[in-house]
Amino acid sequence: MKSAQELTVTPGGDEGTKSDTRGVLKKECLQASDNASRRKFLQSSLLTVGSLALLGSLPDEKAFAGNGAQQALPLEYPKSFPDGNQLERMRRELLLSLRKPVSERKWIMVIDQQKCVGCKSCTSSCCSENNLPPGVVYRVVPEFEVGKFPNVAWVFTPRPCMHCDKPPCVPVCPVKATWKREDGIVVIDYDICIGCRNCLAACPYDARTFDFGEFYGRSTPRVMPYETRPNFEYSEDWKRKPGAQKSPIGNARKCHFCLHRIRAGMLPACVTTCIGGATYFGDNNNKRSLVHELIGSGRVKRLKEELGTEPSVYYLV
Amino acid sequence: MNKSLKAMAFIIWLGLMVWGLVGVSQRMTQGELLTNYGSYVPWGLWVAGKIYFVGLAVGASFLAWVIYAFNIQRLRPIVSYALLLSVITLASGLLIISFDLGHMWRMYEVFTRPNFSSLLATVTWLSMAYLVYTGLVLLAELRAGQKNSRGFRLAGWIGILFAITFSGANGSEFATLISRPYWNSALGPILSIGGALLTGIALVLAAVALFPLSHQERNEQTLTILSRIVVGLILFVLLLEWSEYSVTMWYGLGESYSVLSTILFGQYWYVFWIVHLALGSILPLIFLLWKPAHRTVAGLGGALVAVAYIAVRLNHVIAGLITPAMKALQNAYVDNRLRFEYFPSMNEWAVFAFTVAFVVALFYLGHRFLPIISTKLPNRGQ
Repeated sequence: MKSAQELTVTPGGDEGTKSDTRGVLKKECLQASDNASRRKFLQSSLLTVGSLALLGSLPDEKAFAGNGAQQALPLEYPKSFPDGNQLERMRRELLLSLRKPVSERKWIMVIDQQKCVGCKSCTSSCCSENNLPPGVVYRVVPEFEVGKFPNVAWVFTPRPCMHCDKPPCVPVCPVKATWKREDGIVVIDYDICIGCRNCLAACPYDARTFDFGEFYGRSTPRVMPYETRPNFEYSEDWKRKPGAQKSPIGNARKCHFCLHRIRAGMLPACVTTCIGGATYFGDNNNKRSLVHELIGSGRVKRLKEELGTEPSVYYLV
Repeated sequence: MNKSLKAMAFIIWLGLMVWGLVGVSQRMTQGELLTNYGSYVPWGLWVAGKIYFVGLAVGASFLAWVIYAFNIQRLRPIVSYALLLSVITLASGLLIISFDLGHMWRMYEVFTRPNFSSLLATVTWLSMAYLVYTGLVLLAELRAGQKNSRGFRLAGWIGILFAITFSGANGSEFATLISRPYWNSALGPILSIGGALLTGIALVLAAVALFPLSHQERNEQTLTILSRIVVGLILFVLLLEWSEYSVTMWYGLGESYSVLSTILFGQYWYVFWIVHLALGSILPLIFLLWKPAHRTVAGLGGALVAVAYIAVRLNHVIAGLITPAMKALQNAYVDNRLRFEYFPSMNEWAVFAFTVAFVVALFYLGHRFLPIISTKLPNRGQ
């Protein structure tokens, strides 16, 4: 197994094999300044945690405290936190999973529809995080009424990309511009995509949108600077300019579980901004992770399961 | 054709070409900003145009392949017509689909890094191969001057298989998408082949009527045979459509039912009832049964079939996309590009007009400068 420092993630999902010709992040976020010392530290931490577990105790919170992915972490963590902070738990689980090779991670999302209040802060934060132009949206929140007055309820179904295990959008791409990474995230290489929109037609969830080159200020005297600021999808800075037909304009675009944030040890934007705490994210290969616990519930369903696409987004109904 | 008619045709063509060039220049400078399709209806007139032109190409060449394979001497003089039309319409299909790409200059990637599990890539490769094959046979035909040889018979048999494969793959490109219940039908490839044969042969009929063969008696025989073939194909395609519509709609349930209801009784009902059924099927049937050997009547019948079939292609492409994948998706995020409705924009029509003008111009030039029309009787010189 490669050490954390050796890990390299490219859009192909391969590790350390692809020189970064398209400006893709060259190194996974976990770069310790001293690999040897880290390994030693990990070994000692493992021993410590193991000993503490035997004694029925939990490691000190301070062992987790730190800043981002550079922080050395133990390999185990508590099942729950005293303050019930699930965001913090998911963040730590994420950091822990980043230590593993890409092929040993399996990112999934769980959305609790009972907790979702339909505030659409996930949609807003996603648009903000990825600097999305008009007509491009990664996570919408369809809502509809069920029942009849006075017995009515609103149902909210946030819909990011499902990152299907058998994604219908991938085999239809004529130029292999989209693929499923080993960690389960379906990605698009904007520099290869020819913009045929075959993947849009093939997606059973309408989760892909096309960048037509629109700007909010297109019909105004001046496009505001915020529209031309780069976004950092796939850990590269993508700049859009009015009139230019340069990627990502002319490309299919979709939710990528905020891959650039994951690489930096952060949870996807929609998870961190969910005011109801309805969106969960984590590594399903980690049997002790929160998401793994949640999808063991009898409330779990996935959208359009009958199609056999095996979505990586689960709903608690 | 008399002078005033020629002048009028030229003026119409010039108008189409000028309008089309404006549209193409807008497309080249502004990308797809002026189009009306979006992310929920991601394909529109240009994709429909592509399958329409490819259908014309396959149908026209299929006639040539059958004439070669079965050595049908009566129809041999129209082989060059059929092959020339096929090459031109196929090239036009590739041209119009290139405008539909977000990055049209990356089209070469389909050849440099193809993904053959994608039917789109496979169809693009087949398109190029078919274009080259048809072009080579046309050149051989023009050089050989209607002489028979085993080579042509073989070319005919290969062509028949090639045409069926190619046209079937075109239909499968849509029919294999599980996300779209209306398209996801085993009848898709068969309808694609049926529609291609109908429109392609109807186009050859119209061309023969417009630019007749030099031998009048032979010309009337040819028109009669082509008219009968087109009548048979109209009935065959209507039978396929009846099968599709009646089976899907019988119990009034299911997603495809609502799609077909939209086609038949929705906002654009006239596209099916008037353009496709009345102008593209019933009127031509009357014309072709009434005077199958009459140049004007038969030619008009063929032209109506060939032209009006764009309505079927449009309905097929758009109807498959207008149903939301999820309930309430259309109101979840309001944007002009996130709608489940579509009507082509002026820019899209203009680019389509350019492609039509391109087809007409190439055919006229080919007809004028290539030895397309035989001045000899077909069996002479053998």
